[in-house]
Amino acid sequence: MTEAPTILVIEDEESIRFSIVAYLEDSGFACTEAENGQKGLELFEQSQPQLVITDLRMPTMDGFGVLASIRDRSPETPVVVMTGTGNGNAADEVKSMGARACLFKPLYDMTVLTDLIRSILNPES
Amino acid sequence: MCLEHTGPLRTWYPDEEAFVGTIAAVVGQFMASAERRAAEEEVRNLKNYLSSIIDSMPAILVGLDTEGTITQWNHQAEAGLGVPASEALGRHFREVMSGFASWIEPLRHQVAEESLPASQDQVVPGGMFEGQCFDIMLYPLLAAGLQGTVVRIENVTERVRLQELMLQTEKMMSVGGLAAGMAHEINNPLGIISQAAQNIERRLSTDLPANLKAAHEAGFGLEQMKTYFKLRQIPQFISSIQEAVTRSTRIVGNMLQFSRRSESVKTEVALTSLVEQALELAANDYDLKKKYDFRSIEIVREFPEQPVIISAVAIEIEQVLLNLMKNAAQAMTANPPDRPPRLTLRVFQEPRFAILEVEDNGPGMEESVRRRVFEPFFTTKEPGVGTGLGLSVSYTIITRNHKGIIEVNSIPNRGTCFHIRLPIHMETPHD
Repeated sequence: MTEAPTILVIEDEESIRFSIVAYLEDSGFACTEAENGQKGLELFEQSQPQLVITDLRMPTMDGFGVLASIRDRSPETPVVVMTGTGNGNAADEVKSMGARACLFKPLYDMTVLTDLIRSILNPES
Repeated sequence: MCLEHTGPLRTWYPDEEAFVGTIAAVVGQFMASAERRAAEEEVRNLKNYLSSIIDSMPAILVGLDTEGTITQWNHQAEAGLGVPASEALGRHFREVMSGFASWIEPLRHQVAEESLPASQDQVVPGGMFEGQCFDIMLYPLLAAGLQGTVVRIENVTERVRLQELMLQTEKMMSVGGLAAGMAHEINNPLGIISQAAQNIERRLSTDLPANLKAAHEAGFGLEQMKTYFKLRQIPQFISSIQEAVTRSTRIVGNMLQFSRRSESVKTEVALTSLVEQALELAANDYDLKKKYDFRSIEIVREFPEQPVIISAVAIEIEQVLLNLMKNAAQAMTANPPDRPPRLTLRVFQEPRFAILEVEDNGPGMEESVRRRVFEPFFTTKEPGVGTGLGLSVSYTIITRNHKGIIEVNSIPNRGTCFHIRLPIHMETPHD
């Protein structure tokens, strides 16, 4: 295995973004982060991540905007969407828009996230 | 003797006058009494018409004169009060209507003073009217001053019971709405706490390359740090944070589930989860008036391995369970110190029924009380504490809404057990 895979984390709540990035980095991933969809897409161009994690509800541009944009530019890049538990219908909707998976916040156990990322990036193992 | 009117009028003889006078008087009497008879007939018809109107009223109607003597007594009064009109008319209402007299008395005074109708709602006379509830209204009869009063007594038992049922269900539903809002708000910070604790735990370990690197930069050994943290019990503190978060998320999860079920719709529900929800609600129920602490009660669960699933209105069954649990907790406040309060909850499945039992080790009930416990308005609590409708509402929910059975057994000084049977499958698909 050469370099650590890069993951782009787009989440407007700082504390959540902070702890997810910390956990992912401790787990051997390289992370870039953005607090809204627009900045996220700029970073996407620059850093070419292997996987994108995005929140749904954000100011400026939300998760749906990010999904649509990435599907256009780079359809093979997997996108994992996170959304609040009240949003039961979101899973179907985001998957129909091309998201690889939908996780519900709050994420109490982050091993779920790393397991998911590893299974997406290394489907054989 | 014939009267001729040919020629000039002649003078009448006294005899003739007397005779004509007699005939005239007889004719006059006949005509007057005919008129009187016609008038009497009309009065009689009017009276009958009025009586049949009054008799056809579904409420008890009693007419009283200014002394309080009974002047009218309709059919409902006969049936409802068990006294025929012949025995009631002419007597004082205090003699005949003993169950209601104490309420009618002050209302009569009020009507006499104000010349306006006066009423008392939701009167529970007890006695021969056990389990019944009435509205009493008095109307003044005014012609030249007060001529008396009409007393109307209406049996509102069913209406009040239904109102209470709907009110309780509405309360549960609004609790559900509040719970959902709060749950969502709290979820976020709970997630942050949990994630931070996870990160801290990881960054204290000696395995992570990033940790080793940072320790090296800081100029100390990771093993020494680990020893220091162990001596200062940092791992235990982190565990307690994580446990507390798990507990909080369980409570929040319960609240969210509860709010989702806040509808009067039958769904497939797992009985044990309903019991757990009701327990959660009972433990979190904050009531300044109550004298017990639910959390100090020992809870014993006897649940089966396999989930027991039935078709029911979740929020209604929870309502019943909550009611039974609160009653049990209340009863057990009387437990002596050598008998700590214990609440046992059983769920089990029989071929066609699911069984729920709520048992306490409180003082139990005498047979005379046990028999009446589901009766509306029957309460052993002090006035003002409870409506006496809680168990009657529970009874309605189980029997009428779910076609089930609810029974109670009690042994004084041992405890009380409520036993609920619910059919697993409803006979008709549409109900």
